[in-house]
Amino acid sequence: MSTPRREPEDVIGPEDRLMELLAGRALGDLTAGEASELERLLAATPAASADLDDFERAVGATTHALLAARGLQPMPADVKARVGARLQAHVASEAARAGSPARRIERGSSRSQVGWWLAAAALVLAVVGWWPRLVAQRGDVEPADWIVAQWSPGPDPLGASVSGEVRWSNATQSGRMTFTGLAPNDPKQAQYQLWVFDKAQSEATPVDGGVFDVDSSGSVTIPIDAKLKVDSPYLFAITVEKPGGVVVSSRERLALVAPVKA
Amino acid sequence: MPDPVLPRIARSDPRATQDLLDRYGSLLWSIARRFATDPADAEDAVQDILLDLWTKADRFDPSVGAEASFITMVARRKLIDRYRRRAARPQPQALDEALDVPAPEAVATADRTEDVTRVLDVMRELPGERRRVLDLALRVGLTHDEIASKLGLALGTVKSHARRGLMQIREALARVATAGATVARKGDA
Repeated sequence: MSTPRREPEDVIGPEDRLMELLAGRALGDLTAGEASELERLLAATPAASADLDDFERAVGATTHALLAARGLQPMPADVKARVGARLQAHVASEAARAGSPARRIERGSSRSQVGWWLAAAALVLAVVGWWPRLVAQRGDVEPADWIVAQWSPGPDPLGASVSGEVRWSNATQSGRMTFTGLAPNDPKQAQYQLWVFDKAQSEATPVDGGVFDVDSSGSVTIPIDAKLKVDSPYLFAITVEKPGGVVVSSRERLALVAPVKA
Repeated sequence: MPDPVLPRIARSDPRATQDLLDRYGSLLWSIARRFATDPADAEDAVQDILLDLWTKADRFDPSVGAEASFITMVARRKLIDRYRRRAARPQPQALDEALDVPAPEAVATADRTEDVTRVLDVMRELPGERRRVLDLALRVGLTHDEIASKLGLALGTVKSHARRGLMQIREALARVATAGATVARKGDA
């Protein structure tokens, strides 16, 4: 590697030399000898580490300015949809694993609303006498191990104004989803499909939770039809797929996600 | 300029992902295409960058620079790391190699940040050879060896031009950041 050529008047002091090396570091053009020299200078001047950040930002600003000045290349719509869906799924998955504070706040807020609606619904059912009959007809009671997660919108606009929750029982391998505001679909064109991300499965191959349709824009409840055993779900996701659903989703149209609280 | 989106990313706002892509999708795609071998490779690269941005969003400080500058910085670092691991470096995409740097007014309004204006002003004042070296290095993505060969310059001269040019730009941006921080402090008072 070559070192920068110096003009006769270019006799520089240690501070200028430090700046020059920091510039070279940000540009990625330091020789091994220069890298060692920079390390020594930084050890003697620790505050100069902040200058490296300035140079890195200068590289970012210059690259952006030069690209923007000639016009940026639009990201193709299909690429944008795919990377957005993948990122959304990844983030929801990570948040569910980590139980991030931001997600907990969102869920707490949504849960209080859902709790109010559930309480109101329970009261109505009790008054009209349906509740005991409903339980008797089903021949069981609500599972004690309900896992409850709230829906959040994904990148696809169909999920933009949706609220609701998903409930799942590992013990009974059954569950249901409720939605308010999920757009009706034309089953001949597309269907919604549920995916259950289970800790026992790779993130690339979530469990197929079945396809379903929505024929009214009000509140709907959909039973979950998991095709495989689900032991420890950490994320539920709704995609929009071709009629009949798919075996592996491209996640291009991710409408909703529901991370499970860790 | 609209409110920055990275602070919302840092707060895990579920709608911020789409806003990030709406606002910076073209920038990310332009950078990725410059490094990538083909569109599929560029898509993978953008995915890598987005994941990196998600983890680094809380480091963005609007008082020291534009959001687009920060995003470009993260993207560039990520791409350099990504392609450094590969045995063969892809050839940069053929780009317009016009000698002149356009005036800030030529930049689309949405992209014309204070950083962009200041950088282009400085670039237009740089000596021609220095300006050309920086443009080839940062916009076109040529290595210093490739620039030396292309322009018929000694490698040391190319490095000197690139570093000196960047130092001038950094100083200009530091003045903007200082002014911005001063305004922010007055606003807080």
